[in-house]
Amino acid sequence: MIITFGALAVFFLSIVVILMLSWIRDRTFSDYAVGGRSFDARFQAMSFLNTYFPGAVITAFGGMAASVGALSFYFVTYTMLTVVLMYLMAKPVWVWGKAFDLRTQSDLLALRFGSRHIRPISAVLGIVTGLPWLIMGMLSLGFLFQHLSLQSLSFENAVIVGVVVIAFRQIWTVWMGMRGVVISDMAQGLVAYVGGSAILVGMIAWMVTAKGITFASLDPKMLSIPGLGSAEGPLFVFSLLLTGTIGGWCWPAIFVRLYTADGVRSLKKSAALAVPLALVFATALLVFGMLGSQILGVAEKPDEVIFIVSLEAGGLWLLALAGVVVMAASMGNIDGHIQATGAQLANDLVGTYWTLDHRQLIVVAKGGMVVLTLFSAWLATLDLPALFAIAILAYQGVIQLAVPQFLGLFWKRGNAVGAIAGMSVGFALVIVLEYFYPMSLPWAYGLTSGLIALAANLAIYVAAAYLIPQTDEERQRVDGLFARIEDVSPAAAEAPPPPDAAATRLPA
Amino acid sequence: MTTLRRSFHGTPLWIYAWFVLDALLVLTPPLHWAVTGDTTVLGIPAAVFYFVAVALVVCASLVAAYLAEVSAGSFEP
Repeated sequence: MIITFGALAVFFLSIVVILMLSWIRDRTFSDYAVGGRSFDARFQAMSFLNTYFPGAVITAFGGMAASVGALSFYFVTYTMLTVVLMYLMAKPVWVWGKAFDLRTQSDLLALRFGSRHIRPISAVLGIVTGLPWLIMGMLSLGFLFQHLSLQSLSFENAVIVGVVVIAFRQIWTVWMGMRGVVISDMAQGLVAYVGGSAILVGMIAWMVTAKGITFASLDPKMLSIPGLGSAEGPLFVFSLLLTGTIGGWCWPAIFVRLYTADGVRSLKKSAALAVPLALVFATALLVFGMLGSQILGVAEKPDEVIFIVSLEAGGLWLLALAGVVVMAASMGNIDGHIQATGAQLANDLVGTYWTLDHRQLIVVAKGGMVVLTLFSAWLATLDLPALFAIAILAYQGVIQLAVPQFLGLFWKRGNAVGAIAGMSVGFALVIVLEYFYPMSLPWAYGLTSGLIALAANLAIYVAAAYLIPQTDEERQRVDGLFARIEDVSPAAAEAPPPPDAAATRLPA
Repeated sequence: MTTLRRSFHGTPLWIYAWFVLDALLVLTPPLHWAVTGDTTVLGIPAAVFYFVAVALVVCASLVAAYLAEVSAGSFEP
């Protein structure tokens, strides 16, 4: 245990030292919430990966590959396509973000639709749907600490230890805000995805050469995916891919990364830098999971494949390294999630109805982050048997943000009534459909509740766009917003933000 | 200037065409149905080959998009 916990302690201390050395006092709430829009493409790329690929992805998708097989590779494909959406969104989101000092996803919706009420509604939707994944991230640390303790900790006690460690880590998240999150994402990301890819490829090579495991060794059922005539329905794979693609940028913690870049060029370059690494890491993880299914003990506990195989392949040292990889990935997601939610609590909920100065907003955000950390840590220690089902439901719910978010960015029509009504009806429909048809809809050919609700959401948005007349004033306002994207000069798009961005804050 | 050499918001139109192709390759159900079953391609399960090959195409489009915008001077002041 000295080796395994020692490696984890060294990694943890290294991150803390990096954070302490890079501390800069935040002058404004924008500094705290979006890191002063100051990060280059390398930081942006690693920051995206460290939020998008949490430790729970390593355990959950590694486990899915070990239990289901080829279907798990849909994860690789939709991950790539979701970055295409990011590439397309980069310019409008960043340019509007800088011009109007936007700090959250809900800020963007409030600006685009000229409505302050859409801000808390969308924020609540994002916060509520994100909470189960935050708890799942903390729970995945239970696997980590149980294996690093060489099974001397029960799973329940391992979860408690993991939650305490990750809650302790949030001291620096609360203290340093987004700047600390992005800087630590670089270090954590290098360990998790560069180091992690190397470890995974090494273990794949070990399984092929030392154990003789190849795709040909696997159960033929693991090589196939649901198609025509399958129990899941012919559109099941399509649903997984579409939901994953549009869902990626609906999570507030991921969306806010679009504001932290120092320009549109950095955002687009970060996409080009992130995707090759994401492709290698995700493919290696899933190949590893599939082949790892043949290692003794994995079939019974597929979610623990990385710990079981690493211990067998390389003993305690490799187990320790695998543990550090999972910890690095978990830290990035959990601290990014908590930071983004704290900013939303201050900016989108409290800040919408009370006028707060920069210092007060930072205090409220920090307080919210402390409360959220303690609340989610407490929930993670409870017995929540339906958590995974709730987390799946949350994904179907959060994609309801996609309609106003994407159409709002690329279509001048559309209004606050359609956006709010569409999102609300879509989210309610998800809950109703999941209540009556939990996990699958037998009459929908494999479509998920989220996609059916998304169609209703879209219909409401489009109907409202055409049925509710746009006033001349509103048309001019929206035209003005889009003119900023069309006319913005590259130099203006790359310029640093104004010293006190509050002066150009969006209208309430 | 041909249509594909034109640009929109600084991004060449052929990149948008490639992005549309990406979406079609990823999201067209008949392609998913074509790779069901336990057949293999180059020793790799057909479904795995499809998912990774399409991911590679999308990855290449993003790298190409950035390089095309740089060479077109989209980011120059």
